[in-house]
Amino acid sequence: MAQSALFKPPRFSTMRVRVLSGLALAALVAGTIGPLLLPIDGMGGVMTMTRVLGWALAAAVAVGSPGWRYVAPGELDERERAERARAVVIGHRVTGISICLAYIWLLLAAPGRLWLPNMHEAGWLMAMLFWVHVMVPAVILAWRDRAEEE
Amino acid sequence: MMNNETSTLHNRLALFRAEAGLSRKELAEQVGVNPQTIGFLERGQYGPSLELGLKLARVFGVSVETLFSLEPFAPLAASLAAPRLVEGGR
Repeated sequence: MAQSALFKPPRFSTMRVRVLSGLALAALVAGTIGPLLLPIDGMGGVMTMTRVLGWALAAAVAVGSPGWRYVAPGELDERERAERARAVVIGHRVTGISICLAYIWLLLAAPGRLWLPNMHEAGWLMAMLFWVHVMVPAVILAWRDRAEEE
Repeated sequence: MMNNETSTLHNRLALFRAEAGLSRKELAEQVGVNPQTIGFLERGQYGPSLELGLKLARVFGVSVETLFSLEPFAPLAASLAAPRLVEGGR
């Protein structure tokens, strides 16, 4: 109990989580997938900054919403706890399916017939997967949330 | 009571809240939940725990069966008209 009194996690508004997560996703996709599809230097300053911006925004979403992060006792009511549990389960499924698809791609690509990322690109993709995984519960909670008329 | 979205629980929470002149925020404060949770309950999108159901019933001074039911409640107009029909038939 003393610990919960010392640390009170921040709580962003629904709209802020929606906006930040949208920006984070855009920055992650632009900074990670962009250099893989387009003739852009992924190691360049702009792309590196874009990725770092995406990671920072995703971290802000994860910290500012009771999705993936620690939840203080009494912070959520029973419906919110149930919704959070459901959102975390969905997040784990999304990540699990993504890892499975990546593994299947690796198996198929091994003989050299398909594209494979180099070491740097693999690192960017892993980072994007991690930050999306961290954000998904907060995003689900934010889009499930609705402002009451009163 | 089930804590899920597909709950088949019916309730007259909105009716009792309106009659008591309470806002969702005021009711939420009395039972210790987020005001949005009252909205979810009223729309039937969330089935409360037994504890929350009892707390809500206590606020309105009624039994939990008066507030919640597994069967749909009769429309208010039908409930009000029934005694009149009986009286008119006598």
